[in-house]
Amino acid sequence: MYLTDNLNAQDSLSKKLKQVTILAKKSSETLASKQKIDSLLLTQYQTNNLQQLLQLHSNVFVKNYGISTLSTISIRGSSAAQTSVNWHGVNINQASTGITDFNSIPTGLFDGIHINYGNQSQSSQISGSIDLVGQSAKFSKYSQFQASIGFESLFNTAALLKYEKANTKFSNQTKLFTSYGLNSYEFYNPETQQLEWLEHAKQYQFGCINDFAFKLNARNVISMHTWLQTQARQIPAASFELSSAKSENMIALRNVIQSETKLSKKLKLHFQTAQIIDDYSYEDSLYNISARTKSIQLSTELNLTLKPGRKQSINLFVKANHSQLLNIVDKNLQQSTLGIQHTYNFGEQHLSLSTNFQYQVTNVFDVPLQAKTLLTWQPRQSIQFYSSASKAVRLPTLNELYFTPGGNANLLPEKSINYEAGLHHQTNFGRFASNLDANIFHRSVTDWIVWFGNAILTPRNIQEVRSKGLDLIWHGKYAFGVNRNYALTGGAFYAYTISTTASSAIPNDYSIGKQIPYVPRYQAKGKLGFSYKNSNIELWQTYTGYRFVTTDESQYLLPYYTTNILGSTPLDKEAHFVLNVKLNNIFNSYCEGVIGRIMPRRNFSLGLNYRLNSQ
Amino acid sequence: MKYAHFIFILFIFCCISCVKDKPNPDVKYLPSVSSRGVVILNEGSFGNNNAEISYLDLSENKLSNLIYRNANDKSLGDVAQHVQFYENHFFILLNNSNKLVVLDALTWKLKATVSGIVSPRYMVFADSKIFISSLSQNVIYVVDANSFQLIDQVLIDDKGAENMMLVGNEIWITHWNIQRKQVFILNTQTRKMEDKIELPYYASHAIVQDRNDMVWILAGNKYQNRRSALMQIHPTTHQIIQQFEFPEEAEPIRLQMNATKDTLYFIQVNYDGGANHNGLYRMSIDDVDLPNQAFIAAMQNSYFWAYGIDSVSKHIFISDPKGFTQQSSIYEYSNQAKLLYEYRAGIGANQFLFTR
Repeated sequence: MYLTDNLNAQDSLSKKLKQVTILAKKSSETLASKQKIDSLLLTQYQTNNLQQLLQLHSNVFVKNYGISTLSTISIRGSSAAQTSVNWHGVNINQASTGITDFNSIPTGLFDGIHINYGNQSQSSQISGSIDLVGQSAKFSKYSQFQASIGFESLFNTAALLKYEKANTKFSNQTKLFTSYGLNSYEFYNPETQQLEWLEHAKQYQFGCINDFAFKLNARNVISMHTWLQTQARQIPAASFELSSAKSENMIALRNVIQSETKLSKKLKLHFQTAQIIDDYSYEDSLYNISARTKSIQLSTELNLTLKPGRKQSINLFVKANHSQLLNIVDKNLQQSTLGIQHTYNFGEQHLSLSTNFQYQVTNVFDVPLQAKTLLTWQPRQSIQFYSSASKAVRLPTLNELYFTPGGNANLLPEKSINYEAGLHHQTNFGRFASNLDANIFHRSVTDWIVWFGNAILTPRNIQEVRSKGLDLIWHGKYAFGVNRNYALTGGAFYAYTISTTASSAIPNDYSIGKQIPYVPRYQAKGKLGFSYKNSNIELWQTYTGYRFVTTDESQYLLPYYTTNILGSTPLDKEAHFVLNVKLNNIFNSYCEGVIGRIMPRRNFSLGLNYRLNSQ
Repeated sequence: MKYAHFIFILFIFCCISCVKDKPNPDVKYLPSVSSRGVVILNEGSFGNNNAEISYLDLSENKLSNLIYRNANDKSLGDVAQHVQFYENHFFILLNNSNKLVVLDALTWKLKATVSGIVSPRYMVFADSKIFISSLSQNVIYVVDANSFQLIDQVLIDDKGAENMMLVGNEIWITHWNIQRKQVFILNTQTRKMEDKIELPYYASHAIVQDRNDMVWILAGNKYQNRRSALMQIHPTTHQIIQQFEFPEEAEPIRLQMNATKDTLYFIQVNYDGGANHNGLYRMSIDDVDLPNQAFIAAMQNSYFWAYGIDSVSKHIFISDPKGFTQQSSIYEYSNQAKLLYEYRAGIGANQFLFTR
């Protein structure tokens, strides 16, 4: 399952080849439409937020309102709310807005970031998911300490502390992250046609995660996970505004309790309960506007996994979810889900078929039956093909249902039919190794929710949106020299996404056949690198195509290129200290992420990581 | 199998035909306003800096878009709120850009920008001065219409000043504040607030005067739980002569008179796009009840945002903003509510200014 790791990981090639054995055992898993962020990259981005990592190292499109302001994503032409962000299996998208701000997710708080471009996983979403992964409890005696500090030339600083201690009975990991930044940078303002400095862009962030696990006995493990995330930030003026007095405050508290019980060799029970509280406030002192939204989500899940034989597994699950706006007490959304997943491996044929059905009821609207089927074929260890079809839904959020003014309690869920196919291929020709993922997809979403209006915005199910396209991820490595200490590396990300309005309830809708806003048709990234032992340097070139601001393509943002250099090197023989350097946008490309939000010109960042292990 | 992935990639490239990324280039065209036509102000979508001007040449039924950008090679601003013509210039208030823009009416070229006007809404010309209301500040801004300089700020009791009307030497100022039931009166000579009229309804926002000099005021805000009402007020005694209360679910806006000042027009907006209380309504100044049915009903899943009545042809021009996410449809109706033409203007067309 580690084959999707980028080949520029610190692991040696020989270790990679050993891991092929694991792949064969898990042939039912789709590798091609998943991307697991490489451990080296995670180290390089320890003191950055996740949006910076995703923007350069994935096929996800990041819609960025500025360096430290709101940042949302689109996968394969989806809206931000159609992608789930999972932490310990719980979707942490805000119950009120349905989205996650990737500028409030410090990368260093996680031991793994997995991007699922398709929707084959058990959780229900229209378009993919991002999994924020914590380290599994090891239950062996050891401790580990890590400290990281970072500095950006935008006058931003960040620090991360991790401490992990475990023995045969318990495991505890505590991670603390804090950052403070002015986000002060120079940009070219096309309105004034001169260089200006960004002002009113300060931000402060604090995050803390504690993962505790206790092994009751050989069959029972209980774990508790807590994540507190706070952020206060000023919202700078857009390039066409003279000034801004806007600011935001966010507090999120997430608690998850899990229990894992092996009832027998063939039967496993997983129980999980979670609580998520989001508190968001906004203020504009210039216009005397303030708003506050507080929401809570409570969820419980029971999952029974049965493996009656080597060839098949059955998974039964029951979920209940209650979400509510705390400032409108009588308005809530309650969901109950019953699901079953069956996987069958056809042994010698290296075929695997997985099917999944979910029946869901809510207290507000009817939800159609959801189903998925996934066929994988792995004729050799080095190659895997897959195809899948699914029906999925995206439930309206609390704001869409109940926001005052404008909320629409008559909304229906967005419904999608998805098809995709692809391959994952790993090749090794002597000193050369290559890793390729290629996927094509087609998705049709009906009852697509659009916020309609200006002074009063009202969400309505008015469109059908069809998306199709292709995404490719390739990594290659050529090792040479004594002990193959030297290596040339290369990589490419390519996303071609056509996401257009197919039909609409609006009379004379000019958006029919047009690309939906803020979904580029073309995105490409290329990498060339060189490494020596544990040191490496990479040159990244990116291209982001036209993005439309309006649904009829009448207004758009110009494409942009960026050139970036990343490097890291250990400072001591044991690699306790590692220095990371990033030089971004080295040719001062004009990048407008969202209209009026212009990204920095040339800038750099430095990071220093210290890690100490003891047994 | 060694080359399987290359074959596969070739296959999927064949399956998916690529689409040209670059949009069609805009055709730059600047119409002349010498002929009879309509200046259409497109407010744009909030926060997107895409306010613009369209011009409909009535002699050719030809509509031109992106006039400001084509003439000045930059954006007009964010949320164009109001346009007026005065002394060969167009004056445009940009609400979220906090400015007044002055254009040469012959060339469409930018003549001046008056900054420091916070959240401007509407303007009235009197004695070569421009009086400008503000949504967020408790002042009326005063700009010299010849020098384009901000010269004064007249304090008003509260923020929320909205539409205004010149009545002799007075400017009557509606006040779209949900805590206020008043219309304020400003003396244009002294530039002081000299009176206020107490109303039976909150949040007044539109004002017109009929052929008998009676003043009509529209008030209310459905989304802030303020019932809408139409009131007739005597211009000198300030007595409320009659009042018409709208149903709770109605949201009437944009009160106007026809050229002969004997018929009132207003839009009822249903943002859900439903059939009820959605369209252009009209009533005689002598009617004793509000109209039950729309004179021109909005289509299902749409609503109207602005209209203008051509005093020459009597044709009615109505905009459908299509949710402010795309260009507006402009419908031209006869005075018998027969659809004549359809045009495509900029985003959020919110005012029609007829040039003679």
